[in-house]
Amino acid sequence: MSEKINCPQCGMLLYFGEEISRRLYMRAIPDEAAVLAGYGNVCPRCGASLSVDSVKIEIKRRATSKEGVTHGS
Amino acid sequence: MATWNEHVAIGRPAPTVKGIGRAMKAAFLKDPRALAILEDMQFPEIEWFTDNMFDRMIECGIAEQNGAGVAAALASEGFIPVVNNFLFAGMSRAYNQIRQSILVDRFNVKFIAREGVWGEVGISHATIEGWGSLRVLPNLVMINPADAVEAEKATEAMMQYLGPVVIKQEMSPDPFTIFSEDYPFNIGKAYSLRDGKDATIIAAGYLVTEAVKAVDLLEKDGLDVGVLNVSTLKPIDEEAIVAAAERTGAIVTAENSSDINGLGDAVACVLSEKLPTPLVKVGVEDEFGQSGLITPERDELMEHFAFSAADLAVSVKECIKKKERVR
Repeated sequence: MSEKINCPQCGMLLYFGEEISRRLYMRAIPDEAAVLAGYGNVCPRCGASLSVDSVKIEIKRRATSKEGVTHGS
Repeated sequence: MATWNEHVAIGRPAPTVKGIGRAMKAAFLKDPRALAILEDMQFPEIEWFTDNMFDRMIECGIAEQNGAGVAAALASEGFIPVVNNFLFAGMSRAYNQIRQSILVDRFNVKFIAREGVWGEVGISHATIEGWGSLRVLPNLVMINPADAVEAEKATEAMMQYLGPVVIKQEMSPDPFTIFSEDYPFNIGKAYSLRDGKDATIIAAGYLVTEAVKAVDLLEKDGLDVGVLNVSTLKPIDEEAIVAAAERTGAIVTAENSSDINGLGDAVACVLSEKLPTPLVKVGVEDEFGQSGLITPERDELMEHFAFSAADLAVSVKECIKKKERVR
C-alpha cells in the first residue's frame, strides 16, 4: 500500500511512501496535515497554498473483504 | 529523421554528473541545512565544495553503515544530509541501516548513487543489482535521469522534496542531451519523447540515448516507434505506461541494470494488472557486472551486455512479432 500527495497547482510530488494512517503503532508521520506543515503549507515549486482539502491524495491498495476498496483508488 | 515531442532537443553528449553538481551547488547555497556526507568518495563538483562548503562536508570514511547512521541522526535534527557513493557501498552495504534508521522513520536523507555496467572499476564496483534491491523498500523515491538537463532538474526536485530520495548517477557513456532547458520535470511523471504507432521503448538513464538512436534505425525499416522516458522508478507513472501500451500494443523496456526487479519488471507488473501487453525486457540478464575495454574504437561492455541501438532494434522487432501473434 502506498500514498502519494501532489500539489493541486503544479503537480509537484509532496509525499510518497507508506499510507500514512496504515501503521498501527509508531507512525513516522501523524497525518497528511503534518506533511503539508513540513512545507510551511506552501508548495516549494509554485508557491500554491496547500491544505488537506486542496492537495491531490492518492492511496493505492488492493480490495479486501474488510474495506472493499478497489485497486488503484 | 524522426520527429520529437515538445521539450525534446537531441544534442551533444554531456555527463549527467555535471547536471547533478550544478543543482547541488545551488541547493547548498540556498539552504544552509544541506550537508554532504562523504564516504571516501568525491562529491560532485568536489573542488567547488572544498573551496566553498568545507565546513558542511562530513567525512565518514570507508564505513558506510556509519555514514548512514550519521545521515539519519543529522536528518532527525532537521539537516538535509546528501550521501554520495557507489550504490554497492553507500546503499547496499548499509542496506539495513538505511531501512531501519532512515526509511522506517522517513528521514529527509538524499542519496547520489553510482551504478551501471560501464567502466574499468572491476566486478566489485560494477554492480547492477543494487537498483532493483532498493525498489522493495517503502518510502524511498528512486530517480534515474536520462541526461544532464534532467539530472539537474531531478536533483533540484530531490532537494525540494521532504523525504528520502535516491538519484542514480549512472556509470555509462555520456548520454546525448535529450531535453531542452524548459523541460518540465516532475518526480513521478514519465515523459513521452515520441509517441509512435508500432511499439514503444520504455527506457531510463543512458538507455534513453540508445532508444533515440534505435528510433532512426527502425524508421529505415518502416517502423514508427515511440520512446517513453520513465526516469522515476518509484513512484512509477502507471498512467503513462498504460497509455503507451494502448497506443502501440508492444513494449520494450531498456535499463542499464539487472533486468530483475528494475524498470522492466515494474512495467511488466503495471501492464499485467491493467493492460496485458507483449513485452521484451532489455537489461543485464542475471549475471554480474564486470570491467571491459573501452576505447574510441570499441566499447567492449556495451557489446557484451548488448545495450546498443542495434540490439534494442532487434528487441523491438521481436516484440512486434509477439504482438502480431497475439492478434
